[in-house]
Amino acid sequence: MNSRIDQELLGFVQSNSVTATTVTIQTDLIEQEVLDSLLLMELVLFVEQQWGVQLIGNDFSPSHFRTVEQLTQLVETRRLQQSA
Amino acid sequence: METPFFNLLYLHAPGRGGPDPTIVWVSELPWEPLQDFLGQANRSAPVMLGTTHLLVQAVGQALAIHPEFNRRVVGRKVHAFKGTNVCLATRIPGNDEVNLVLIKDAGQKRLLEIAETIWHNQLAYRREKEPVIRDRDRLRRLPAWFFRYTLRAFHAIEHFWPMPIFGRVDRFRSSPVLVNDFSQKRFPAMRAYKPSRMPDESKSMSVTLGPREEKVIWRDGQPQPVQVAPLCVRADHRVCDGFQLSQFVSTLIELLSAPEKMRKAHVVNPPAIDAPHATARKTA
Repeated sequence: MNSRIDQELLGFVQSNSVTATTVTIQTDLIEQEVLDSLLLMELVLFVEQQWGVQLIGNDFSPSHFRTVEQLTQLVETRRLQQSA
Repeated sequence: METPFFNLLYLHAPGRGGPDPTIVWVSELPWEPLQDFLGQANRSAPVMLGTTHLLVQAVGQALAIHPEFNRRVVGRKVHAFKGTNVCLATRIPGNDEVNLVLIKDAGQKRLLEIAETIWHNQLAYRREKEPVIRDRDRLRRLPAWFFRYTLRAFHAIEHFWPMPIFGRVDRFRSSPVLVNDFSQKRFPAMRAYKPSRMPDESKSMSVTLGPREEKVIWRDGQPQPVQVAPLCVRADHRVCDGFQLSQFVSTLIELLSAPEKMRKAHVVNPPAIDAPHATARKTA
């Protein structure tokens, strides 16, 4: 797990979330209602701009966006795929 | 379908637009069933599902159940749409435009298909790969006077004849309803919401879901907190009356209060009538 990516993602979610929930890398963003459709799109843009990763329609899965940890894994996987 | 006499009074009222034919019904939607359903569905769904997707599906199915709302006014005539198309207003971070997404036959589509269509469009809009963005930019480059007179000519002609769909920008006219989802926590409390009619009068109704709020109700002799969200429906008095609107709102609440039933009921008496505009059939 790339700690730089997860810390940046965590910081982004914490600063853009409108809920009072304390977010950690393992917080369930869906159950805790941290993630709404606007934040999801903002996250996608952030990931694309920050790491040059292009997310596709299939990536919009709850299993990829449930926690910051899972999203970090997705970013790493896509980075590896796109650099290969 | 024959237009009731009461609606004809509005339809044939003097002046181009006549009196304001707007009816608004604001109701409340119990939030827990929706939240429970989405929580469970998102544990196994391959695509993220949200209230927007459920709302679009419910509106599509409600249009199929109440075909009297699946119509629009062109001049003094009421025309029926063929499919249960739903138009969704979306906003993308970093983009100041309101982007419309057309979900064709939303009343017959599965929730996953609706969600995929909306996410796909959101991404395409954001990456400016959606062809409609190019069309929109081309139209924006036209001189203001030319744009104004073209639009006026278009509306003047459409006052007498239903016009065909012109290109991608115009395809949003093929739906009678505009859906807005403001149910996220980031929005302020909503008591009522009445968007204006589109200038081309294509949207005879709009459905808006507001942010949920906690409310205390009296149940079994005890005060109990519940979550509810405002549901605001604007309709055109020239195509419906207050009673019909109340039925439509009841259907919407019923569908959204038991979303699991919507999955089974996605084929519900689609109106067997012609296509909009170019092939729109006069019903009055």
